[in-house]
Amino acid sequence: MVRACLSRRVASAFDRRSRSAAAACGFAERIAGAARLATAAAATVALALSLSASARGDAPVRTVSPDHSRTTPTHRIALYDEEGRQIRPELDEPVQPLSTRKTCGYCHDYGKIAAGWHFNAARANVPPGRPGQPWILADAATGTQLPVSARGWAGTWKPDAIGLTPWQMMSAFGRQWPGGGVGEDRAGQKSDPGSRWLLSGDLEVNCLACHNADSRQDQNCYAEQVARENYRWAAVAASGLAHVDGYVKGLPGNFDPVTMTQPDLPGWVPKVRYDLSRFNAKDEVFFNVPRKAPANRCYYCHTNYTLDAAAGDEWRRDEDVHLARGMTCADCHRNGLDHGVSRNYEGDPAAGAAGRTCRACHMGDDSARRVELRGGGHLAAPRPRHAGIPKLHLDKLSCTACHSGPVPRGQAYLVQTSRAHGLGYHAMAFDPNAVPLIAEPVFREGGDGKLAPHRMLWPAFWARLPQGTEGGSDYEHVAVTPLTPAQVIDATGWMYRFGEGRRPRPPDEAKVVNTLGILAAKGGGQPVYVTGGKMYRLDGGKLVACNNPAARPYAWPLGHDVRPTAQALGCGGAAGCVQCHATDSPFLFGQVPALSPASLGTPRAVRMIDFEGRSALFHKVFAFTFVFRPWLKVVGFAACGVLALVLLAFGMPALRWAAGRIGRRAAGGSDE
Amino acid sequence: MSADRLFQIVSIAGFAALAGALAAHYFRIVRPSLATAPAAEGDPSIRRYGLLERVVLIGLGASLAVLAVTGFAPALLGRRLEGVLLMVHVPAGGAMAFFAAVAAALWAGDCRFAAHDGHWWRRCCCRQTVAAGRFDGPQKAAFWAVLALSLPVTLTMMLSMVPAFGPEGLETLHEFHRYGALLLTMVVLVHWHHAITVRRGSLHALVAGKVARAWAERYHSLWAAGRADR
Repeated sequence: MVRACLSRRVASAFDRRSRSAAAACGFAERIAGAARLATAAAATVALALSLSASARGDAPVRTVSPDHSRTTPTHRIALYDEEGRQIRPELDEPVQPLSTRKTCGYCHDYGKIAAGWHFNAARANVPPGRPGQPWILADAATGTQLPVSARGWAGTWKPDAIGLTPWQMMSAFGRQWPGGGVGEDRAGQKSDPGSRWLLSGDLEVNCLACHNADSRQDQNCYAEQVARENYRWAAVAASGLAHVDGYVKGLPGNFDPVTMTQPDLPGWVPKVRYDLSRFNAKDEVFFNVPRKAPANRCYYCHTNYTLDAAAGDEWRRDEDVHLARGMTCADCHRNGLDHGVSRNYEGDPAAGAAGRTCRACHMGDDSARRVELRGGGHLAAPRPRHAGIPKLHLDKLSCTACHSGPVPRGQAYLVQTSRAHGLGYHAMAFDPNAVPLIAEPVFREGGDGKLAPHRMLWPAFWARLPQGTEGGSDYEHVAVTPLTPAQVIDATGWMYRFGEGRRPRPPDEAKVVNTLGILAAKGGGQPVYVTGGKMYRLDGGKLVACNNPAARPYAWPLGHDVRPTAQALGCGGAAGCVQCHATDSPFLFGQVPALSPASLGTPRAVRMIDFEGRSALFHKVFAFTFVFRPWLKVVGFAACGVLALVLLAFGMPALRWAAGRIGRRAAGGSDE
Repeated sequence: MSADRLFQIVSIAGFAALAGALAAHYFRIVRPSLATAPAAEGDPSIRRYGLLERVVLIGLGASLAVLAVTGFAPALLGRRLEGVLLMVHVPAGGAMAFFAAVAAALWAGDCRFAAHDGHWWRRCCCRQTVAAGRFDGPQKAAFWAVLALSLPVTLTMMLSMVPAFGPEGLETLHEFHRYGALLLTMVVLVHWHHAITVRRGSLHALVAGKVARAWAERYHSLWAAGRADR
């Protein structure tokens, strides 16, 4: 028993926690002849550390049973490092960053939390749900905007399909990565020889990113630390609890993370300096961590900014009507300990359990098993009258079609999102022309068959076709293999390298031709460039465009900001009808430009109705009939008036006659 | 069971029952008496309908036919009224309302019930000829039924076009509309059956505007007595 336990601890020390051993191995590999000795020594050290650590596994040391009090528990807690040792900043040398796995996981089931929606994209057994916003691999210089998601949403590319390793994922998207997932996937990390995980540490689930209500929580600082590859230090640096110096990205590959010394680059070795005033006599720290994450925490990753000059700057705009009424994101987007945050679309299993879809709150759910859910009214949600709106609209349109996102105009807007454009990350200056180019609102059918507003991205990327397709005619069905911007830059050399501070110019036709030529000369499958809904290839030295499924736009439904009733589409009686039922209605006939980061002529525009799969002619004619609606109403009501008058004029005497006859009969008299 | 499904069943049952009743009436009552029926077009000497009246009657009949087809075709198939059918249905409804109102103004006086109208069932059931004015009992009953049903059928749709009712209210209006329309359609079918099979020549009178004296004296003896030949 003891031996088995010891074996497990040794294995654990090697596998999960022995950074020193692995690091030493890596170091030893670079020093021929010392490998075995170093490994053995490191293993011994790891075993000693393992036996002395107070908290080792992922299971909570202290199980917290919910007591169902509405009072938020006061989190005055000790901090623990990756090894599970309590952090005592005045005694430790070197001072270690806190580990959320060990600190939060001391009481809460970290393993269960780490399987939550924000962290589980790469897990094989997780239902993908309806399409959502992907990560977008964007690069203005190479004209790349490639939707990436491990969830397998149709139209996105899985990271491994385009050769993105977990390390590269973190480099590209880590600034808004909530931690967890491939950020601490040891198996994935080990298989990535180009990574520097041993130096950077894991990007653990950053509980504080969402739950820390302290206004000192600085996700911009988190992004900076991630950019420096200071993954292990990012959470504590962002929490405002400590200042972190250092720059792992600048450290050489043979840096020893055990001794944490680099004599020639001392300033680049990460160092933690805790704010000692935050520690009490027992070296505990108070965290203001409410159960429901404040909206401000969500915004760092879930901000969307519509580039609408007419709407003006941010201060002129309204926020979501729910937030304006004092709610927070987490009031609707709920979760239990499993952190399976409900997305609240119709059919979302998590939303179904919590009953927090638009319809469930505002209109009730007749099919709900719980009686109280049938009437709706959660959180005092008002029941809409939808006066004059035929039920057909509720059956064919999602709630968001009329209530969410910017009001459509003649052309879809450009929109920037925090995850795609780094809004809130101060190192990225706001640029209205920044890639990726995303359009909203684009009305199209969602997975439930209802029309809903979407955000849309036209993929743009370099790719190769399978070997042997050159000269073939079936370009419209051939599968492509995308190239990452790094691969394109490596292949083309000087063409896409820009000096510091120089703004890259979008690829033009000449550049695309040159690049395709260079890529073709390198061998491999025929190179192509996908953008603006087309796939471009070289044919006799000329650029030729054709269709291909890979060029189809990727769209995901938008849910926010929800506008108040008075600003909903269709509101305002007859005037509201023609917001959509008009021959030039943006809802049906608004233009969606096939936005491309490359300059290959004027982007073609697609009408919204072409995405909706409906007949433009029919809707033009149908909209035209609304011109005559006022006349129809006049005729109809006048006819009703005439009919009513005639019926009254002739019906009343008939009634009088019938009543008299009945009376006479009742009295026994004659009808005559 | 959904409201749509219920309406589909009721409609099918209603039309089937009506078709059976009309067929039975035709073969039991109407067909044996066809040999003695005078033709309206034989000697068209009496003016029965003016131009305006004919336009109104034809317009009303045509709009009702369009409404019935566009409205009940999808309903009987268990589908929703939408698309092109809806686009045709709505203006046809406006036309029907217009013609119904004009018809009400034109013929309400002629369709006032009189004492002799109470005996119309004798002809219906006992094959007896009864005295009738310009319109006989069944015609007057059909007229008032059409008017009485046209009002709610039209009004429900007119009210649904103003932002006064929510989806539930609109659904209720729609229920009244379609069940009212079902009754209206059945009344109209009975009326057409009466006009086409029972009193042959009525359609000719509608188109030409004139009828033969023999026809008028047979079916509308009181009215024919006061009409001079033209």
